[in-house]
Amino acid sequence: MPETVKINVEYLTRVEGHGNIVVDAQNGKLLQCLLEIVEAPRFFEGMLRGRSIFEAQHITSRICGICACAHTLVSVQAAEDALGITPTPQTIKLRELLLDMEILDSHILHIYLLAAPDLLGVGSFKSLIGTHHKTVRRALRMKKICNDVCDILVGRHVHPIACIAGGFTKLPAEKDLAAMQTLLKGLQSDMDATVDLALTLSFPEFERATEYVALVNDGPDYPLLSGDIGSSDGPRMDKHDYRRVTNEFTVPHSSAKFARFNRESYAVGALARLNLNFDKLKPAAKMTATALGFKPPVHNPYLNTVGQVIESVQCLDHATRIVEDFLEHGIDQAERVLVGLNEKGTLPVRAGNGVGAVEAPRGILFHNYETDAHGAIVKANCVIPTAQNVNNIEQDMAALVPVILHKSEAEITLALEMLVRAYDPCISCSAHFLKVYLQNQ
Amino acid sequence: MSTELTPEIQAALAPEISGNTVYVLVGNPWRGDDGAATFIAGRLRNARADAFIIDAGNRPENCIERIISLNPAKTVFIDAADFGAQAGAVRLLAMHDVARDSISTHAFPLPVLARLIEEELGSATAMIGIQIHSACLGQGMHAAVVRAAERLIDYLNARLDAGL
Repeated sequence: MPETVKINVEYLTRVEGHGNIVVDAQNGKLLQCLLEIVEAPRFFEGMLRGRSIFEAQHITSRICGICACAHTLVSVQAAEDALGITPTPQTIKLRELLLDMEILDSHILHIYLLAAPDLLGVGSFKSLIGTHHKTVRRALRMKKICNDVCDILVGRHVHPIACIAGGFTKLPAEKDLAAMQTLLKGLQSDMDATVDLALTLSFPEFERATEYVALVNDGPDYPLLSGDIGSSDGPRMDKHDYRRVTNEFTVPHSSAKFARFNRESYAVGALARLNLNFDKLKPAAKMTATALGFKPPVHNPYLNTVGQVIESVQCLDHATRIVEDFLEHGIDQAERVLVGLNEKGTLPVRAGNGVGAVEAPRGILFHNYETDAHGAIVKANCVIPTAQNVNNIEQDMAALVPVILHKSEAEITLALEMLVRAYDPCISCSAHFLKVYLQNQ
Repeated sequence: MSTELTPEIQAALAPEISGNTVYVLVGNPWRGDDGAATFIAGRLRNARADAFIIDAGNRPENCIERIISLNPAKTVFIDAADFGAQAGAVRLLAMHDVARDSISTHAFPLPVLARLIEEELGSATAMIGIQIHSACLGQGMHAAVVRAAERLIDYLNARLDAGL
């Protein structure tokens, strides 16, 4: 029973980017509990200044190698908002399909490759290969299919080409839709196996009353691509008021900004989305939730991974329906748009200030561009999901450590590492990753 | 500088006498010298029925099912690398020497992929690295890296053409 511990995890594996966990407790009292984000800032907002708003999505998709589609989608949404362009229903459906595939891809990788080694008790991903190589292959099969659908839809596995402000430069032909349908059907058995695997997993018990923030809207579908900003604490806000939600501030130990809304911190991601929009899930996802014992509101951050399983089922179901609908009703190829940098004035340009809000795999993502009369970006702001979560992770850690201080250092360290991993942080995108320091006094 | 292939590298590159050999060429042609393997892949002439070329681009993990389906006796990864030598140096790398073997959702390291193949098939893997000069976006390949790639192309084509 240490009660007095000093934890320094200098290298937290299985998250994206670099960060440290620092915990100092003496005589049962928590003195310090930090999630240090030690990545260098990446200055994407600065890079956007002076660039055409029509190329913003190609630049910002490079913020992230796994959320490239979400960055593209939020970027074109912000651009269209600034320019006063309303996308067609067909464009919206195709964008939803793209986002479904990216969320599915990202969730599967987190569930299998990052979270599973802890939950299956094998300790590392390398060990998982030794004990569960068929399972690892399943994850990679699923990832490949998601990537292949993206390739068909937007021209590349990552960093989409065809998705631009105004629509798509290339629209899927019937054979493309049929290919996507075949790919998605091929995913189903592996998805069933994923749910079966999740049923065997047990998660640490820990709850902390938390504010959850995600997109909400009045439509019938689970909102991922558009909506207002919802909070479990209320009120609902227009996306243009995102700064009143994020309230970013800096702390000395983090190169990522922290965020807070109605409480000292808030959480975004699968758990937030499910807590706010559970009723809008498709029946298959709801059945999965029931089977996994997931009943919102859920305040256990470790169950974010369960939330990702449920959302994976949701995204596959939703994507399949979109493709089937297009196969039945066809794609209007006349909607194809070629804009480039708008040298030919294909789209009307005006000075404006546009905001995009999209649910990336790790949570709500904001882009905000201010443009001049020529469509050049004069100011940009990107608020990344992990940056919104870092403060909340720290608050979780501060609540968790006193409860588990009676455990061994190794157990405390693992519990903290698993907690951070449960958020599936993309630290490199928020600014980058994780080290934990633990030393007995 | 010399880009001679050492006997050790030649042995690693040579097709297996018995069983299939799969060459997995990894890299991003948008990133300067990181495109070396893709450069090689596009210039190989494979006439052997027991050798297979896979241009894996920057997503080698997406090729795992294809690799395993070929049931290789040996899988050779060829990738640009930075091992502190002069640009264009070619080296047989030990998988444990490849620095990035920490998994994330954003990157699937080659040593992990090699381990998966070894676990699944019990067959050998090798990794050939070509020392980069720069892997910055939008640059062409350095002349020394091009020469190294051409040396590998010549060596491989001689074996893949003639079935030696």
